[in-house]
Amino acid sequence: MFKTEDTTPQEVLASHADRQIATARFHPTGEFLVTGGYDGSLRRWRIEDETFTETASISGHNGWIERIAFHPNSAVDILVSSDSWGRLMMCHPSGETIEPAWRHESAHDGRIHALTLSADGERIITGGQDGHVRIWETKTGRLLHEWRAHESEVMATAMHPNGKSVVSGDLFGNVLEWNIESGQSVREFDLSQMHYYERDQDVAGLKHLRFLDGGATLVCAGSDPKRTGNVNGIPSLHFVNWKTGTIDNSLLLGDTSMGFVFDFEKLDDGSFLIATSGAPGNGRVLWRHPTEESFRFEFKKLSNCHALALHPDRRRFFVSATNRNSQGNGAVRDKETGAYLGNTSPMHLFALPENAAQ
Amino acid sequence: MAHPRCQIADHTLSRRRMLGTLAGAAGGLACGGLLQPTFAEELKKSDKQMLLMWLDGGMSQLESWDPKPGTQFGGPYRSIPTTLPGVHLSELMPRLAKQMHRFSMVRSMRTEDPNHSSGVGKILRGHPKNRGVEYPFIGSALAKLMGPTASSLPPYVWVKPGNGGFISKHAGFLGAKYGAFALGNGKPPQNLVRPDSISNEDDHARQMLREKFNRRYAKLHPPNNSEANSYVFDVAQTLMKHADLFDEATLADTDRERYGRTDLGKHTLLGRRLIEAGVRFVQVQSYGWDTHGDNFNAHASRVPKVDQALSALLEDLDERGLTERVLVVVMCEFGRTPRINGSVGRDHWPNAWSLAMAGCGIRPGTVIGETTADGTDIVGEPYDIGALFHTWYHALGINPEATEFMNGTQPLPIAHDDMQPIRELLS
Repeated sequence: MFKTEDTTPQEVLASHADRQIATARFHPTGEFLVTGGYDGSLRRWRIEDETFTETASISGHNGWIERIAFHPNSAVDILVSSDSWGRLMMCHPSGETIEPAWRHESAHDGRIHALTLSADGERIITGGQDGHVRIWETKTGRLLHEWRAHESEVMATAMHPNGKSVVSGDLFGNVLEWNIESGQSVREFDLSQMHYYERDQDVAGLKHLRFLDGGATLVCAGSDPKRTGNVNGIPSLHFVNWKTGTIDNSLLLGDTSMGFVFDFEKLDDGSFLIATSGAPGNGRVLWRHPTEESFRFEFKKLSNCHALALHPDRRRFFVSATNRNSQGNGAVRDKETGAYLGNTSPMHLFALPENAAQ
Repeated sequence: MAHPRCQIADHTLSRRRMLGTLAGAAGGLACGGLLQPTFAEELKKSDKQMLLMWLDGGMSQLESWDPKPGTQFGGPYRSIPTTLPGVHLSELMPRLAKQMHRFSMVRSMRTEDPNHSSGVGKILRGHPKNRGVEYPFIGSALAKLMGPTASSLPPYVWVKPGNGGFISKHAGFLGAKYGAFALGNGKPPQNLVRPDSISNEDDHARQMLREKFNRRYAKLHPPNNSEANSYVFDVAQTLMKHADLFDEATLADTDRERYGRTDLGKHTLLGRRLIEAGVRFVQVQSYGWDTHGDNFNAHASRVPKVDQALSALLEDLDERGLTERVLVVVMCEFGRTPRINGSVGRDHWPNAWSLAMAGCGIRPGTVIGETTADGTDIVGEPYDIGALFHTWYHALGINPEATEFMNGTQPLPIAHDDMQPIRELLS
């Protein structure tokens, strides 16, 4: 099933989650993986020899959990999570049973699309349906700054490694730089190719903003959408030169059926691991360096990938996909019980080739 | 609504058989395809009207009328309380939640067809029994049954994005004349207004010439075609007298804001104006609801536009005293699956969906039916679209038990003859 050449990633573990996974991240020790679901579940998985073994889940959320983040210092053992009902929560996820260290029931009014941490992990930056950007103290949950950043939904946020600026991007592909202290917008970046409007529908292509290279580059990831209704688009990564504010490079990762970059990670050699999800059954796991003409790895056998997480060993990575035949009109029922069936998430752990991307 | 002449519904079948036997073509056609001439005339005098908001492709019931927050299939959004105690709508409908007492919902729709191509027609025709004929869409049916109002404006106007024109195929066996007068992008037909350079005399001469051509056309074409051809010209003439309907300068900025500066907002506002001007049936169309991919962001973008336009419409009808005589219905060909597919979308779902209605004898604030906690099935009695057609006909003063179409000499029920109105919805 998988390529065997030692230049391509190998699948080292496969399992299955009975509910759909929206996001995933490894604990910085690498001891376990946490997944957030389209059912409000926050689940912990230990990587055993031959499978993912689930341990007690973390309660406290509702709606969808689309964004989670670990504090980079493993010693503090901090997981921050947000949901689509506006909840923001911090917990210490390594314990047997877990209680939130703090939780805000209404960190935002409605869906939180964006949750990122500062480079040192001490601050949380959130944005959401209510158009606001908020900055929180990670350890206490204290609100440090807030402002109405956009007239539309905030789809992505990130803090510059210098700790003085925050960027936020909205439904229309407007990306703004904010001075944290003044709460004033100081720069605007045009990513309007990540927005499409037709037939009374706005499609937001932007899903992630991340700083790379010590803050020299801002990556805007998601899609350049091309159709409303049954949405499609071209998965894209746009690299903005932070100094000049211009897009220096763009990776357009296929045709319009391939949809969105749902998640990505940068490896040490500057290459990217990317998970995409598009038209029914269409998902890719991609490995690509921006300066190279072709993919190092283009794995097409997974269906609609939604989460990708790099293990702290920086050699293994996790991808969640969707079960085959997840699309279909009318009811899909269990042949024996007649129960209505939802979709599930196949879980895959890959290993990069030895000495690759280090 | 009681039939003005006949209070007994039980003898319907015997009357149909009698009509079929008598094959009273002349009588049937003379009364406009209705069973009883007096009733037909009464209907044409009726001031009742209907506006249908059609959300083409299928709006998700879970992101609108029947939210199931916090469940496996509930999606990301919360529900919010409404003015009806215990009844919640999706948080994407905040304005309508404040007007829940003004409209009603059926949350237990179960229809048969999961396909757009055939499903749209079935829903808009009321999915009657198959009798080997093509039934009219509801707009054409009302154009036939009720005719134009006293305004003489076309009885069936379709406000839609895209191209306009005269859409005769909606009329089915009724004949082309009862088709839809489609206002593409809400615009009137091109060259509707007579240019100033054409004098009254010249215009009159042009009309004479047109009528001459019409007579020649009629000799060479089937009666239905020539009748429809002539009708379209007549309609255009009538619309010319109402050119102000399309003059955006006459629109108040506050109205534009209230309805929303979107296609749906603009077209719903035009729909209200057409209703006020006297159009019998207006269909306001919104395309693009087939959200197999990115369903939730799509509904976050789309549903608030329905919320805004529809709530403004309900307010305006109420303020103008039109609620009692204008039936408003919001529906689509089906709902969307509870299960969330890999494209983060929802697929076609005729199994357990919802629609909404208001005005014209519909008991406000009524919620019919319910679905299971996770929205995957109906609890209790399901309703097919035929029952809704019975309900809407009753609301409009048409008794389906005592009214029939005539397809030549063939009497045909106007709604599914095994179904009944939902009595709880009727005042």
